Amino acid sequence: MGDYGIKIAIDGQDVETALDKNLVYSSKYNGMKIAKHNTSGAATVSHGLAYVPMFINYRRYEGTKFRIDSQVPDLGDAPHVTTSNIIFPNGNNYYFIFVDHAA
Amino acid sequence: MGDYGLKITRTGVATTSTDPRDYVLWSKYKSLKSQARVTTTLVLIAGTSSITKTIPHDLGYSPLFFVAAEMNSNKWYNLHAIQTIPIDSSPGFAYAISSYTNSTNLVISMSCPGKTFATNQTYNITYFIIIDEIV
Repeated sequence: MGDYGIKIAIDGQDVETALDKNLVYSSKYNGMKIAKHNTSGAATVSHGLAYVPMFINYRRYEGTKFRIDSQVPDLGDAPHVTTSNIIFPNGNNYYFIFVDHAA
Repeated sequence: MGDYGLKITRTGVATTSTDPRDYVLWSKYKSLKSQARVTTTLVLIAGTSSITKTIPHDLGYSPLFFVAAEMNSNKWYNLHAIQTIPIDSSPGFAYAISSYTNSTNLVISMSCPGKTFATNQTYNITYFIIIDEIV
């Protein structure tokens, strides 16, 4: 990228000198874009994308607690994604599929 | 923040909304900023059962990250938690894989207890370093 774009600094910082990590927004960097946010039980869900997307999944346990991915000790496979589906071997999933792709 | 900034709402929502969830971008809040997508591989050497891959990020602080790996053919798994992933080609065995960041590296560790392979095994990895810091 050349010397152009959009930068927004946090309040009190000079946008010309602020470190990138202190910017509210910078068009120099990609923003992870959410393609789909939903819940699912144990199921195979079509994601409708023509590639393998990045995703993040939280599982609800003991009613109101959420843990990332498969830290809940279940038997069987872990959640994973293919070119057509996202697969949840176990229930209580709260997931985000990103536009950004893994493969 | 004063009465200035940049706000972009979802389609159909007025920028008078006070609900942050209605906004694609609101400069009142930091957005996560990702470096470019990187692809690499993790190679388990024949006859061994564990591998650690260290990927420098040069940020000087511990960043957020997203990382996924193709541990079985056309099956991509997140490596954000400590994962136990069945090995499709060797029923009864599983990979134990996890990842972390510190101030210098993204580190991915994988083992397959009780299991070795006769040939090198190569796994595709994709990761995004988010330049926003954990600490």
